[in-house]
Amino acid sequence: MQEFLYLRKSIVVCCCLLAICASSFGGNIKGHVYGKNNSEQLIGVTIILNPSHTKTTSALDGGFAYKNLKDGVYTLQLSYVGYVALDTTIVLNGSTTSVLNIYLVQKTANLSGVVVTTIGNGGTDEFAKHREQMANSIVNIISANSIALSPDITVANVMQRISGVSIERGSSGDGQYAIIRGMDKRYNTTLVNGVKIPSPDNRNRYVPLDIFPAELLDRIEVIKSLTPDMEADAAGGVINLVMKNAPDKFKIEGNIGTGYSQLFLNRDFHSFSTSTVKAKSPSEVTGPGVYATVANFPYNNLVATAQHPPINKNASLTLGNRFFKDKLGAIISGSFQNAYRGSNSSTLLQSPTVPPAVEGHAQQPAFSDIYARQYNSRIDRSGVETKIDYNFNAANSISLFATYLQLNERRVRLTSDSLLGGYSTADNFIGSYAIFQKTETRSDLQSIYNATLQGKNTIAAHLTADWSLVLSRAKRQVPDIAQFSTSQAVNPNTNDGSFTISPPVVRNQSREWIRNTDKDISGYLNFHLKQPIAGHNALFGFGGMYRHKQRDNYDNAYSLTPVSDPNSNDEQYVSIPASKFTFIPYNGALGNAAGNPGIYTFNENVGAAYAQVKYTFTKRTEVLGGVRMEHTHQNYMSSLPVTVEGKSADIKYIDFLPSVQAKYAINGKRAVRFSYFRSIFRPAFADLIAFPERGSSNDSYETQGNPHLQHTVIDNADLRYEIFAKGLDQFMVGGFYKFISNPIEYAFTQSGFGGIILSPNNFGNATNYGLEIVFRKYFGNFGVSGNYTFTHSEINSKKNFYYQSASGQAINTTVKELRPLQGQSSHIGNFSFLYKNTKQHIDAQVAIVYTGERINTLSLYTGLDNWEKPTINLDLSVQKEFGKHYILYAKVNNLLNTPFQLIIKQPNTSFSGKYRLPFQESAHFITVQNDHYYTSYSIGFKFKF
Amino acid sequence: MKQLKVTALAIMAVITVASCSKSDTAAVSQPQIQVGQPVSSASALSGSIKGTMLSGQVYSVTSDVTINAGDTLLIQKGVTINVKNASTFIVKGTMVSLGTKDAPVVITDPSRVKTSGSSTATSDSAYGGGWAGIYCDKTCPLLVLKWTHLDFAGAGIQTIPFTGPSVGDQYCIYFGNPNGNFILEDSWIYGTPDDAVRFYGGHVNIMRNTLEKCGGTGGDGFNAKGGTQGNMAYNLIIGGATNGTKSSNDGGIQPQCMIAMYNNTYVNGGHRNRGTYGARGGSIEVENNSRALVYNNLVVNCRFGVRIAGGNNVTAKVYLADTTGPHAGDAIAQTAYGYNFFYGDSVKLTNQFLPTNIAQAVVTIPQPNGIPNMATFLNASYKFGMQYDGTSLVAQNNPLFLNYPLPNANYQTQASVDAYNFHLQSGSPAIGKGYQSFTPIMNIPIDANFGSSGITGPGKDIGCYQADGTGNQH
Repeated sequence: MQEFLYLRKSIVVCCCLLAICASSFGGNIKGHVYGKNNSEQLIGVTIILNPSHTKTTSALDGGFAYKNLKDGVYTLQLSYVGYVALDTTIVLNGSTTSVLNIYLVQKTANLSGVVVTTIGNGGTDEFAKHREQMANSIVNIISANSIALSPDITVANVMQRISGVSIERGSSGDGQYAIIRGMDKRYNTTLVNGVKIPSPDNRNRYVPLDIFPAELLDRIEVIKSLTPDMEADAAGGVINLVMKNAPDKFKIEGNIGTGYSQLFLNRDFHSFSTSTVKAKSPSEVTGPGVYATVANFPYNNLVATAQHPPINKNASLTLGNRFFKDKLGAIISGSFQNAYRGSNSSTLLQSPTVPPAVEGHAQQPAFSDIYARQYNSRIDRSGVETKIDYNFNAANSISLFATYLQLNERRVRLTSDSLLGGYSTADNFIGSYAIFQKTETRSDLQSIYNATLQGKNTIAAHLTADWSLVLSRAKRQVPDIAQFSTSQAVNPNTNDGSFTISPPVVRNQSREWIRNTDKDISGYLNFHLKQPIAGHNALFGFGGMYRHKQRDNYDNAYSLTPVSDPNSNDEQYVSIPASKFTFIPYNGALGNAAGNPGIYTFNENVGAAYAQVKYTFTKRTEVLGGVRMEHTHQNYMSSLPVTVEGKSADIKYIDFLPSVQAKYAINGKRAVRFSYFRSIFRPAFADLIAFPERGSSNDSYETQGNPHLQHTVIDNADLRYEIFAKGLDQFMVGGFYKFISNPIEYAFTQSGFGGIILSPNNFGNATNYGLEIVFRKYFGNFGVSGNYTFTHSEINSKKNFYYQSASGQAINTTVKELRPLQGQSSHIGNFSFLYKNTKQHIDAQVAIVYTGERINTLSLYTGLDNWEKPTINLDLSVQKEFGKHYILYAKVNNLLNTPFQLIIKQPNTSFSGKYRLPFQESAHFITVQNDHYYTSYSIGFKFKF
Repeated sequence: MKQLKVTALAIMAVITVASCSKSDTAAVSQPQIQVGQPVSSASALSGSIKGTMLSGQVYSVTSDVTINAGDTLLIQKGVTINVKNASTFIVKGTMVSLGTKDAPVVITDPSRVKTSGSSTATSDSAYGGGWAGIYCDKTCPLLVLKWTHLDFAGAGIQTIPFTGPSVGDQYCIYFGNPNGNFILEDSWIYGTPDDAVRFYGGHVNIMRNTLEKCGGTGGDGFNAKGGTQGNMAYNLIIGGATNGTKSSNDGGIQPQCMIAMYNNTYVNGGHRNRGTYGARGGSIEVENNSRALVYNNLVVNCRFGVRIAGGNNVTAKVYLADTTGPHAGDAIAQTAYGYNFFYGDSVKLTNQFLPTNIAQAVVTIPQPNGIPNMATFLNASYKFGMQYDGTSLVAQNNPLFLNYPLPNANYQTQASVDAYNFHLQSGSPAIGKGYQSFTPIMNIPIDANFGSSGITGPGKDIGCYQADGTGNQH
């Protein structure tokens, strides 16, 4: 506190000194630069003061200043991309301050009959805000400038700066999925340039956001209210990733950077050799029905080696130009990232069954294992994209966008698994009776191809059309997930609390091949008709789309049994290469592909049609309304035998989806918006198929689909009040309400008589309502921006309650439990503090993200849901520009090493005493997972010509 | 009761024979029953089958066979069925196998040969799974197996025959109908990779059987889950990987799992259970809200004694047998145990006559009526689960088998009967120590063909072989 006071005093003193300096010498010229048509302050306008030729740029609030000038005549030259340059003359006399408000006019170029209105570069904050202000629906936009300035490398991490957006991280600590307004990741759609691309992920329809390097992006739009011309399967929102466009003139941009994770300064990185990893499982090579040999499963990729990893590397290059009198534009971008990520994780594995609650007490969970895990991932991410556009004339244009993205992860997971026993150790922990050491290695190779042909045509004076043809293929291959294990018995010594650990023996080895391919063909056609009604503008829209989607999924797993030593039932562990294996039963050598429900094909055809009108009642009132119809037809066929339920399914439904969006502009800067729309959510393919999938959705539990799952229908209402003040300043407050029928949530379920599995289910209807606040304010070189969302979410669902009656009988019953929707935080807040010194060309940003507690996984039992504890993430970035073309940057992510923690909100009998468990924090809740990702550092260099 | 009648008749017959010694000896054939059409042995069987397999025929099954709902397959005495290609018997209807002592039925994989002596999980083909086993769906009303050899079953199932089992399940018999009757009497199961029999419900009578080499690196002999009620008695279970008999109410299917386990002989059990290190028992296990009667069992060189599972509210992976009650009117009013006989050749084994809390809490109360008297040995201060020193119990109370040397150092690898004989010598301390004041569960039809041949009540002697010749007939 003392220190803080001292610091504050010194700042005050400095400020006073500056004020004195400013008033004691010569005259000053200062002012702000605005755009003529919208009166917004312009940032980064180049200003040259002559005759001294002193150069400066306008600050975050559009301001500039020249101080201590002698009397005389000065000229100011102002230039800015997309605006007409301007010269102005000022006569300075005595120590006065000349205050100027300068308005720049937007450029309109006339290119041999093609009228191109340069609204500005889509990648600027200003453009982003402008689109937000003008948009029909409720939109948040984050620009390339913001992306470049934010301390994020991936799209997912950028996303969480947007109001109402929180992020779910994967095991490498990278954000993988967005949760918009607390609606689970499944409810959000990802578009690329406005079209859907299939996901290679085995369980989720949407693309994992970490597949996109941030450098390729022009801007990200988060659309929270749907208009009838948009596809209806998004309840939380639509994330539209708009890739870079062809520039007005030749452009070359690039970036080269490096980084390191604190984690690998603390411990070694483990890697494995992929040289013996085969793309296909033995039974695919030999054909079904042939016994594999143990030699088909080389040991090489089971051996992990430890060392400090090399530094991370990333590079990107973008080239763009326009040709043939600017009719043809082309841009090509390539990027490459090679990173080493990891985390340390501790988990208490939950048992499918729980002990009966003692009369009058709450249900208590039971745990079978403690996992201590180290994740080590080498991630190679590369992307190439190109966009070619051709403007035939003012009325017709066409563009082709093609992209190839690849994300390869090679992961080593080391697990120390202690099976919890029934005695306590000398340290008063529950003793384990066996310790397993497991090494799992896997290659997860994902790729997406997409080609999109889009056109805009003017058919008649007031009738225009736009269309898209899209071809995509998303592929995921996980060849040879290999796990080697040893185990050691732990025997407590007679009643002294100590124990003896036996030497390790070899345990079963598992190998599994998984892959899937998704193919999409889709077409979109939209018509727009301008037809004034009663003297007011009316814009009619109608059209439709059709998509055929097909998935092929394959899975084959083997389990190898260690060969017993002579006259023993165990194989003593010597080394991985020396370990011998066989198959028990013998036909285990066939793998499990023959009747594996994980081998399936899935087709989905979606057809949609809509009609809408945008009507301007008065200058201030605008209404957009209409209806959309979507028809869904899904079917799948798995390799299950015909005698088993769920081998195949044919699912059809039609949804009618009304939408109304209204905007009332109180004045040029204040507006009220209202929207109502209905949207749907279709379960992911794997959500419908009763295939117990190991490891690829959840690292601790099997995940299995449910063919009886209903699709979700959501009614959404939004009310929003906005103030677009000067410059980039903005204030927005809004409320929203959603009624969700049949939300899909993941819950623990007991698989028949076996272990615990995660399965998607409908638990009833939910309501979500809340409040959203967004603000942004700049003071000279400083700016603050933030947003906060409060959501109240309610679902009343049935839970099991297992208890012991007074007479001692164990009774299984169900009770209703009121709780928030899975994944829904009550409080989400983002806050950034920005510094932009246009003179020194230094930008800095500190970003804080707060995500309130939320349910991560539902338990079958009352009161045992797994909650994610609130997190505060702190990231830092700074960059310095040299000359006009070079930028040096440094970013520090996860400065606080914020843990990911799951808790069960029940009194913790394992916090102290005889049944103490490790990594417990409180007697009031049970910590079941505690993951640390550690801080990561990166520095780099960018150039731009 | 029926059994008593049969015994009485036999005695009368002996008297009759003795008194009329001048009569001719006539072996009059008994009528064999037949249902439907005879099954032809001329060609290999696959697909749906029904009718009667005729006595003395040798049949060959080359891919999965199904007895459809409503159909019956009856197997007469002396039939041999050679099952190839890891095929499965899928039973949605009724299956009845009527072997006799003189002409048993044999169902086997002909490519396998039984071996004697030392047996380990990966050296002995017994654990390799030859044919896939008998899988009974919810629609199966009755499965009867009498005097039937089930050898080398338990190949991993490649496809799921119906909703319930998983790909890779490796049992000899899977019974999945809580309302069905399942009678396994006087039969033999030799070699399975996992449990010999997995019950997901049913009224069961599992009596007078011999189990050898069941469970490769884990797996129980008779493993009953929720919905199962009945008897497991007079079985000889040797060389099982984990438990010989087990009750567990997993799945919570009605009715609650209740099993009477009595007069069984467990030899060399629980030594091939890799890696779980005491998370499972080694002879008799009662866990997860199930009830059991456990009396008159002879447990020799098994990894654990009678384990009544408890819970500690934290690590309840396998927890708390149902010890509440008495609940009048239930098949078993309350879990009860006693009069069990333990013998061990190593301190590792005698330390677990009363299982201690290694993997899970155990709530077995030391009993004063067993051999040895564990209540006296551990005295009144003993608390559940505490480790104790059983050194003084090593090689004590030799049960005196007719032909099986004790002490015996090969208890971890001798997993088959071979030429040994586990009948009791006349001087055995197990003779006359049985407890007879309890009643077995009577929930199955008694019938020479379509039911039980007779429920043998509690025995006078401990173990499956009775000095009076009753009990296990092998």
